[in-house]
Amino acid sequence: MGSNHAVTDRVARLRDIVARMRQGGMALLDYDDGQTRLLLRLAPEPGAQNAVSAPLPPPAQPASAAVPSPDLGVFHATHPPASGKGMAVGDKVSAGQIMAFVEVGPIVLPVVAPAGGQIGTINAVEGQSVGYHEVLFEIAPA
Amino acid sequence: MTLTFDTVLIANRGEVALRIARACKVLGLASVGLYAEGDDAQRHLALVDRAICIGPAAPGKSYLDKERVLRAARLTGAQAIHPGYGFLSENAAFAQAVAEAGLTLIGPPAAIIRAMGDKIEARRQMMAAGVPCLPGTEGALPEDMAQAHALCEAVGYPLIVKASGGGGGRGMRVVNSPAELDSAIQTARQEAVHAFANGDLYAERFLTTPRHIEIQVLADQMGHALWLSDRDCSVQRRHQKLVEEAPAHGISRAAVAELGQHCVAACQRMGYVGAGTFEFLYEDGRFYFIEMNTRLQVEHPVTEMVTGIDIVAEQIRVAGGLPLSISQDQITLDGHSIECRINAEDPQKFIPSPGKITRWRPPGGPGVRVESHLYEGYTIPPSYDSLIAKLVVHGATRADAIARMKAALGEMEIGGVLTTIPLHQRLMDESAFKSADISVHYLEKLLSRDDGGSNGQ
Repeated sequence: MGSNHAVTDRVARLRDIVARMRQGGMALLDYDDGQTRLLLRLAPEPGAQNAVSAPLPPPAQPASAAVPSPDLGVFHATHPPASGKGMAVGDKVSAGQIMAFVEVGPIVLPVVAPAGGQIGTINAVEGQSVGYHEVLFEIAPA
Repeated sequence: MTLTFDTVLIANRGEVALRIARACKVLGLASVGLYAEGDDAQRHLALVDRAICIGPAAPGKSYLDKERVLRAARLTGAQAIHPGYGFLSENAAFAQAVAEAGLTLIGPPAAIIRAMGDKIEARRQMMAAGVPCLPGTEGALPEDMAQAHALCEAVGYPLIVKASGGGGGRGMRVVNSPAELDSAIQTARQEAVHAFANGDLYAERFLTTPRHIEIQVLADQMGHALWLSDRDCSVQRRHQKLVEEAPAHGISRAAVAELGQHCVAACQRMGYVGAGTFEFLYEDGRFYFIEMNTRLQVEHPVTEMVTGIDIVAEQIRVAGGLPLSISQDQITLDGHSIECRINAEDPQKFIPSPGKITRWRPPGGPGVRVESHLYEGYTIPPSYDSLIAKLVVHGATRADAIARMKAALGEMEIGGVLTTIPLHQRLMDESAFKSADISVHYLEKLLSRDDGGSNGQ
């Protein structure tokens, strides 16, 4: 009886996590607290566009690549609640690298480098509210 | 005295967003503009203290997205939200969410928006407040057809069957005689269930050649309410107004004042707050309530021109807890005002004409006011409303206002897109318009005569 309840509860929590991942356009969750590890990899939603991959492809001869915010939210240089320095001008990044985070309510979305190179400008500071697709970084080609 | 907020989020776009940004400046308030992706070239965004992109171009994911608008308010520190007109301005669920978030909606309480959005409930409240209504059924029409026939007989024919939760002509049927009633109810109910998920219908007397007359009201949180002026908005096409004026020509001032007092009583009875409009049909010397708009209206400037009252500033002040800055006996009516809605549309076929503005020369001179977010080089996006400018004039008399409108329309140059300017120029020369001998069917009849003529050529 008790274990049945625990299973139902766990399924309900998983459903909730998946719904939140869908809402935030998350594809991968890797949680590890030392005792339990939870790895969730979601199949792409049919017909849905991924908010994270929405940024426009860079032009053929890019002077620099703009790194847009995935959504309207709060900018974090590192994954909250951890604190740290985050990226700095001049840092090298590779395509697909997570550069910072944007917090939207309970969800933390990654800011992903669309191309590799060197950070030219950083347009947001820790805790700043940022708009949907607002340019947060400019990456100069390496 | 100060307002309960110091920063206003403008949850709209285009000319009304600019109008609100200007009012905030006048009141010394900070303002935040929001916009959809790709819609960042709007003029008001240069006037606000902060502009933020809230989502994709599709209105459902930006201007109409309640959660995103609220998120923008939270993120930018705005404590009040002005919804403008259209979009979320009459959305009771949004109003409730704003209140629950501890923010101020510049508009009436959610319960009033909800009540006035339900036509049966709105009518019930108007009857109770003494506002004249069309003869009609008290509640929803019963399913039993014998009972429905008896109720409709009491209303009288011709009548119109309407969806309680409806609007925009859907779920509506004109019934000329009892023989047509059964099929009219059946089809209207189907449409109503389909479009509004609410099959409730009611019936009211159908007027054949009414004018559209409306009353502008303002109310504060202390229980004061006043009516500002009447407007005539009979020049319509498919329920969209094209020309509005204040005051209504040829209607006794005493009759209008009596109507205005009934509207004030209704506001006080329901605890109304902010700007609102009571819309009426007028035929054979009598007014009949159609609906109340619980928001600022597109045509508010004509009332501002004849009363000298800044309606948007008053609306913001009362939302911030201040009393109305005027009293009923201070309101006077000066001259006549006309507004022409300049839409980026083909002036004959009314097909939207978005595109880049290559030339912009707004008119000027005494009594001429232009409310527009246009500038040269601005591109009108295809995704939104086609209203690009409101040309408003003020004259000593109606004839004087028409003369000023003709001159202003002739001076106005908008290049790059088609506009309704030629249609307005024609209207200002029409003898029926000049003598104010028009009903709500006037424009559609005029345009259908054109179609007949062109078909014959």
